[in-house]
Order: sequence, then structure tokens, then C-alpha cells
Amino acid sequence: MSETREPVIGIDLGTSNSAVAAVVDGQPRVIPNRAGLLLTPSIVAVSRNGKRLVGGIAKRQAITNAENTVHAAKRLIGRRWGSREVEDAREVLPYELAPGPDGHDVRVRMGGRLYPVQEISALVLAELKADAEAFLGEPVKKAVITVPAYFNDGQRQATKDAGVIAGLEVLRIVNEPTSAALAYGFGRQLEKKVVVFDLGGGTLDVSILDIGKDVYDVVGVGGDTYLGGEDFDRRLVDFVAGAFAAEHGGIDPRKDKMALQRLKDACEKAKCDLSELPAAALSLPFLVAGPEGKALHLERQLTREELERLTKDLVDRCIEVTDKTLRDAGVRRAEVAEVLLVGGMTRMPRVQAAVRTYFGREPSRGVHPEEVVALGAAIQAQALVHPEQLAAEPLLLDVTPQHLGIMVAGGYFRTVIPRNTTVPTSQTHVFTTVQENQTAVRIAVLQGASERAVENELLGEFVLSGIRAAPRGAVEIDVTFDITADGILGVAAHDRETGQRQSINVTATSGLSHDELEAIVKQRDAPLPAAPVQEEEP
Amino acid sequence: MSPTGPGRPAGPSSAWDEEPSREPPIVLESGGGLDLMALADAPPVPPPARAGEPAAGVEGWMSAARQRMALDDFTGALELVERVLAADPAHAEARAYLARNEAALTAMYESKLGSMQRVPAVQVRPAQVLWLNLDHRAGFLLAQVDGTVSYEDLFALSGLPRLETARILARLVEQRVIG
Repeated sequence: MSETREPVIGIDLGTSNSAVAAVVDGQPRVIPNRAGLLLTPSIVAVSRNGKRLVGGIAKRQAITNAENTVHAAKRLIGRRWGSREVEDAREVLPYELAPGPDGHDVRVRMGGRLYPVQEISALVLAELKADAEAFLGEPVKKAVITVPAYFNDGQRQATKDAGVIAGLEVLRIVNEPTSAALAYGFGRQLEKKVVVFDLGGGTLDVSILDIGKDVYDVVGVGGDTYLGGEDFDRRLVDFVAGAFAAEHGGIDPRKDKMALQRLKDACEKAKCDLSELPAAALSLPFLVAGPEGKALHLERQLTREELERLTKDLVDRCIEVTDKTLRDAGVRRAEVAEVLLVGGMTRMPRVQAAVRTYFGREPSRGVHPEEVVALGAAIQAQALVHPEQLAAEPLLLDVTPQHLGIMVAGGYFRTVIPRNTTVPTSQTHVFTTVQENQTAVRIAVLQGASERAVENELLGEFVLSGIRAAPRGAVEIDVTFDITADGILGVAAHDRETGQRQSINVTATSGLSHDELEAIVKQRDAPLPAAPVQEEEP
Repeated sequence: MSPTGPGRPAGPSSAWDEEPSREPPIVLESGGGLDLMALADAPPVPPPARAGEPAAGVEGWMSAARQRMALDDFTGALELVERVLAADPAHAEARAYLARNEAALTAMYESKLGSMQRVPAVQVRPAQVLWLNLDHRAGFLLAQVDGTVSYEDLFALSGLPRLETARILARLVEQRVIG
């Protein structure tokens, strides 16, 4: 590495896998982890002997030690306890979730202790930081971290807190599709509308961007937070296990944790192989105990045709989600000049073919699907710290990921700033009183997609008093929402007649108090106490 | 039968070459093959008892285990106790023996592995693995040995009690399957 300036990294903190990149000798490149791999599983565990495991090693025991292995923490970060997303996650996650001390945020039980979700993500970030330091040969303190475009303010703040716990100064939180497009457009002069189709391990995110000269504007986002590579793996596991059981008198390897772990690992690998080859071999000797105690082997071939047949509906769902995203954003397929494929699952030929058929054009192969988000983050990080080293500093414009509005009579939600509005923005709506001689109104600021206010996220509230007593509907009140380029939301209410005015600034909270965050930072390097994990025969 | 006989891979000495199989050897008659029909019809012939083998059955194994314990033969006693537990997982005396001697037994097995930081690698070819005499737990541990994880990591990810993991790994090392 030739730069002598302070190193800075870009991190793609994924649901299933994460990657870290840096600009080295003027070129962005993904940094291999200490096992030599470019992707690090976003998995953290406490083993039976109390050892903390992060990354690939944690993944290897994710099934045999499921209750003490935390994966997909990204689904939970910054979420409120009791929200639909957390309830959905509780149904599928094998580890225990609990409310935080104030009952609002989510905690995860691992190795007999409750952790804030930010601390779990921080362990992954710290691992990536250590990998970068080992590669670059010097301490790394600054980073840009990417998040999905639909993340709300609380989720972004929680991700930032995770970075702080990991010992990083988070220079900026950047949207994943923006980052991908940034890597794609790095060094070129592009002016076009681009769709980023990101099918990762756990989620599908579809984003539409307008790229001007070094300006990246997200104009639409959509997706499915429960559609990804793991669903494809599960189809293969079920198929292979079913065939094995039929062949061996009903012995189902999914019922043995060790066998299921091996089967899942092997099916994931076979799935990846089938992107390059027409057939892949599964060889799992001594997989499961047979009827007389003798271990049975699983030896078979899987073909690409079988994989495509088993996952056809999943691929179809991907296209349905893409179509809905374009419709919501009011973008016609013909307007799309480029389609970028992001995420490991887009290596699957059937997925590529489906995208090609839908858009009527060949998707771009100019970017590496699993590295591109981290590369874009590294470019942005470099632009922020060493702008003189890049020809042009990219300007990233973002949109509001969800509707913003207030609660109105009847408990309904009225949108003031619709989702996908480019920030900075300012919009004013006029509201009236609903009761006779009403002299005060409560302004509850909400974020979400539901018509019912209670189902959306409450960001803050205030009371505007001193209103002229008058018949209902006679008083007019301007409510103005103002979002700055930094994403700070200000809400003001103004009585047109009396001139009375009240306002608040909504600050994103991650669920961790300042004191709690500081306490976690202080103890982050403390040795982990041996966890009283109950021993159990798998 | 020669180690390079039908169905057996040729090559350097390996675990199954050095330790006799528990099955009686199959001898091919000159010019003939296996009489599969007859073999399928007839009940399997139990292998002959080895010299010095304890009497079969839970009480026989447990009695022999007591004798070996008295002689400080931990390994021999443990092998028999495991046989008892395989047949009767709730056998109180066998369980008590394991609990009483767990630390000593674990240390004994771990000493055969060397440094816990060492990264073992599989010493046999993939095709040869099928010929080993392993149970599914050993199969799981063997599948985790890929030249990147240390013994300590294997203990962490095995999901088995430490004694059990140490015992399986020590046996794999002894059999030169890993090293």
C-alpha cells in the first residue's frame, strides 16, 4: 500500500455475509479476512465452552448450537420490541429475544446473557476491522457502513452505534444500492437510470437510481425482507433429505442437528457450484446413525435443472417484487438503462435469465455481485477522508425510505412527505380542528406505511396550544415537515390566525441510551465470562 | 486379504490398513465371486470373540471396566463404560464413572492432540474416508477439519461435551486420519 495517510474502510454489513474494502494504491479492493475469504458470515455465537465465535467458525456450529448463535441480527437492529418485524423474526429465529430495560428495544440472549442487537452487530464489525488492520498493517479507526435503502432513522442510528461499539468512527451511513452504483460508476461519467437488483442471503432489495455526473439519487426502493439465498438452500436441503429418507427407511437427516448442519453447508456449496457447472456432487460420509447404529453415507449428484425446478417460484417472486417496485416508483422498464446485479444469489443463471427477460436487456456484468457494495463504501470513505485522491467527489442524494406524517382524527395516519421523496425537502399541509372551541392540538409525528397511526413508528410529539376558540374546522394550522441533507427531521405547527408556533426536531434513537452505549464501549475488550450453557447431546 | 484387494484403494498406509476391521475377512474363492443370494438368505454370522474380550452384555462389560479401573487402565475402562452406555444410556454406575473421571480422561485425550492451537488437516484421501469405521459424530467432526480451524476451535464448534470431542479427535489422530 502506497498511501501513508490514515486508512479508512468501507463495510457492507449484510444480513448473511459482510465484506470490508479499502482504496489501496488508488483502486478499491475487498480485503480478505484472516481465513483468506472475501466474505465473512454475519454470525456471532458463544460456544458451549464459553468461547465467543464470530464469522465462519460461528456459522459452522449455527445449527448444533442454534440457541446460542445469532444470525440475521440486521433484521432486528433498531427495531422496536413488539413491532411486526420483530414478531415475524421471533417466529423463525431459533435464539431468544427479549425487550430491553425500557421495554422498547430488542435484546438477544446468547450464552446466558442478554445483548443489545447493536453489540451483536458490533462483534461482526470488530472482526472486519481486525481483518482490515491485519491486511493494511496499521490501526483502522474510520469507516463508512452501508444499510438497506429502506432502513429508517432508528435503524441507521443503531448501525452507527454498532460501529462506535466496535471502535469505529462512522463517517457516514450509505444506502447499499447507492454504494453499489457508486462502485459501478467509479471513474466513469454516467448519466442514466439504473436498477440495482440485490438478492443476498436473506433479503431481496430492489432500488432505482438516477445517476448524473457523480450524483447518485435513489428514486425508489422496494423488496422482500424474507427472500434470499437461504430460501434456495432450504429447498435443496428438503429435497436431498427427503430423497435420503426415502432411500433409508425414513431416516431423516434433518432430525439430527449435526447431520442437518453438514447437509445445509453442503447444499449451500452445491448451489454455488451449480452456478458454474451443470452438476455438483454431495459427499457426506457418516452423516447420520442408521437403524443398527452404523453411520449412513449420503452420496449423490445434484443438477442445475433440479435446483431450477425446486426454486422456480422463488425466482418468480423476485420478479414480482421488482415489478411492484418499478410500479410504485412510476418507472417504466423502458426507462431503465442499466440493471446491476448484486448479491451472491444473482450468480444463479436462472435468476440472471429472469431479470434479463423482465427488463428485456442483458444485466450488467461489470461489477462483482458480492463485493460491489463494500467497494462503493470504500470509495465513499476515501472521498470523505482523502478527497484529493479521487478525481471527483461523489455526491450521494437519498430519499425518505418510508412515509412521514402525523396522526389525525380517528387514529388515522396522514402522509405529509411520501416515501421516495428526495432529501433535503420541505412540505407543508394545512389541517383544521375537529372539536368545537378546541384550543390545543397534539401533533404526533409518525413514520410508516399503515393507514392506522398505531401501526406506524412514533418519532416524536408536541402540543400546539393557544389556538383561537372557534367552531370545528374554522381554524387552519400549517404543519411543515423539513428534512435536512443530514437527515434531521424538523416538524413545525403554525396557527395562521394567532401566529402561535411550536416545533420539534426529531432525533433518531437506536434504543440504546447514551450511558448504556458508553458502558458497552468501556467493557468491549473485557474477557467474556464463561457462559453457563447447558450441555445437551445434539 | 491384501490391503490392495478388491474395492480397497491402494496407497500409503492408512487407518483401516493398520487396524483390523471388526468384520471377518471375506475370502474370494478361485474363479468365483460372492454368493450374494446365499449371504442374503442366511443370518449374519457374528464375529468370533477376541482373546481377552470381556463377556458380552452390560454387566459383563461393567465388571471388566471395574477390574481395569482397579489397574488404573483408564482407557480400557472407558472403552467398556462407553459400550455399557451405548446399550443402556441411563446406567448409573457407568455415568458415575464418567463424571468422576471426566477431567482426567479429557486431559488424557487432549494430551494426544498436542497444542490446542495446532490446526489439524485430514491425512487421508476423500475416497478413503468412506472406508473408515466412524460413527456420525466422528463424521461431523472430521467434516470440520479443513486445515483452517484449530483443535480449540473444533472443541468450540463440535456441539458435543468436551470429553466426547477429545475422545473422538484423539481416536482420529491415533488412526492417522487427521494430524
